[in-house]
Amino acid sequence: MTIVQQLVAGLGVPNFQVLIPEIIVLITALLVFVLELFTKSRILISTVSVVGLAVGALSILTISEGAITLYGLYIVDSFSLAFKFFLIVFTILAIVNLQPYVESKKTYYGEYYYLIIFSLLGMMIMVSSPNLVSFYIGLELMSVSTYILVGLWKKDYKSKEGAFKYLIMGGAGTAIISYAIALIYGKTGSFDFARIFHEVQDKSDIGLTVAVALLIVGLALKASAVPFHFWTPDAYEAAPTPITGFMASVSKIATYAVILRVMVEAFPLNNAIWSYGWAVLAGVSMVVGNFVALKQKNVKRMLAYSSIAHTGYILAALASPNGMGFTALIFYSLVYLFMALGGFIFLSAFEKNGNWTNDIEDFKGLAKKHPIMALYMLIYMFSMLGIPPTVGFMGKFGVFLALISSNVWWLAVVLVVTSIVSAGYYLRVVAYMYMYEPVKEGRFYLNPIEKFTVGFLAVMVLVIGIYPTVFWEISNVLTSVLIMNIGVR
Amino acid sequence: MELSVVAFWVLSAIAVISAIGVVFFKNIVYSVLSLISTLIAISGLFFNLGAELIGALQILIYAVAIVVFYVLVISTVPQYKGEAVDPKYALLSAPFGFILFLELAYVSVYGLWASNTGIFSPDIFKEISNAKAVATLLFTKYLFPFEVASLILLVAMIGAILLGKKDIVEDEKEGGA
Repeated sequence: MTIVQQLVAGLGVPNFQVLIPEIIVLITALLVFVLELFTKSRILISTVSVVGLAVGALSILTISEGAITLYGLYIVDSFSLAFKFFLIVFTILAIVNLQPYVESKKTYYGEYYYLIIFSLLGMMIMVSSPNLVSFYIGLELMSVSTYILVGLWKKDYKSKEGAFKYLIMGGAGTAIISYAIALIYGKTGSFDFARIFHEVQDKSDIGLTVAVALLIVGLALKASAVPFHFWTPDAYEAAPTPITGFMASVSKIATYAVILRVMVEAFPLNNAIWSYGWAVLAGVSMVVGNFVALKQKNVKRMLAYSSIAHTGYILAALASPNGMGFTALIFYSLVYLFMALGGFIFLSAFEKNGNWTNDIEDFKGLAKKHPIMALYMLIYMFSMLGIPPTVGFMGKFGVFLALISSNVWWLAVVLVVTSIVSAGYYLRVVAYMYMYEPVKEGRFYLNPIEKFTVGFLAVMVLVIGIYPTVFWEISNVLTSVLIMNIGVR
Repeated sequence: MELSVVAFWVLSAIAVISAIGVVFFKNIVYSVLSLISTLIAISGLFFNLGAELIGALQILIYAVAIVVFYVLVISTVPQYKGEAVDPKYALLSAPFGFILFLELAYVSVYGLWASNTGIFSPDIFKEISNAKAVATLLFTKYLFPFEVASLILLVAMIGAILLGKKDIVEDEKEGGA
């Protein structure tokens, strides 16, 4: 036997059984890709996408135990499975609302569907990567698909501009992350989180600090934390609104999940470096995001800044690097999915009508014309502001408790104060809906699917807010899985 | 002096001088030509170190593919925009260049020892070539990222076609159906 044969002989066949969700999602994407070439039936394309993703989501439930497969490059544990399930479900909710919107805007492309699914596949790879290489490649698949999705608005200069900004900034982020990976590899000689942990332990020198700092900067750029947020408002405003919802909810949650996994599994004992870094970024994000949002007249742009502020609230939990903080982060990011997607789908439903411009003036008297929808928007706004009994309160409360349990008082104070500031713009929407007479005549046409999506998400925001135990338990279990996996190969 | 040492000094001198040329030539075509010269000199350095695979890749990817890309960009950008050396940008790039230099120096001084671990010891390299060693890893452990990279290329290609093509506006013909 030659040396190469000896090296290869030890490797078995990867365990494809635990990869079934990914395989189903990939097949769905390729199927839609081929189908889109041959058929003009738009209903068929969206049906195939939704059914394929639904099967993928169900197949996640059949995987009972975790495994590391593909030669240590892919980990299937409860953490990744749970996140993948939520990612797929919310992608479905975004996809079903896509067709009516893009048709009314005369900007239909069949390509939307498989680009979204490819992006989803990238996120699924990202959340289940125990290795810097698969993490990087998943991040890249997600980002490249999203750059294209932002620019897909026919004959709209703004959309191209937003996509271009996003491409340049995102490309810079990717480059920074690859510098960080190169430094980490140079330092430890390995890409595996577990090996990195064994090599690094609690030693920290200038090289490791720079590497972790660069990694934080790159990931913060992807998660749109201030001061790396400049692409966010433009890209969010420029993209077709259901796509914005997809980016603001699903993409972001995948990014938070991967941030948590990289930081906790690769550098668990160097938390002094990264918890401080994330704390500063989170604090600045909360302040800048909320104060700039106050000035916005366009509600879509306002929600984009609010999503920057929420990046701050969620990542603030990393300032308390213990089980409590991680649980708070997972809980808040899971429930943030409901609020963020709901808010943007609400806008997309109304935006279908020609005389709706997303301007705050358009909200005047909405409660008279569409009482139920206005109530849903009220729930979203209260939830993002953090008023009980909505779930936003529970999320912020969890982060707050985690912060004060670790004695990070300054960040807890920033969180509370900026939340109060945020009332200025969230409540303005509510006030415009309920306290003004309608300026424009006529009701808006709304699609039943959109009504269902917005209503379902709003009810979930209330239900989880009143009874958060299930989600809190899930977050607890995921945290313990994450901590148990430290250093395990 | 050994021949490899002579080769190192000659190649690095060419690389440094042509790199200075890239920055200071007024004519943008001369800049690209000296960039090619830099890249070929660097690939010569790789060959000199015994890393024949990286040397060949350097020529294939940088000196051919990326330079062709630059030439395409130059031929589309108007001449006057690419002429002057702007001292403002030169000043701005100095600190970043210095940081990059520090980083590279750090990696090459400290990184060398750590990354020299793993299954491929120098003894194995004597027996098999560089290309075989890289291929063994690429098609076993790193097969998965390799395959996903093909998906990324597919998506990027679709995106380029989609954003670049002229729109046939079907919806307006059908009256927004």
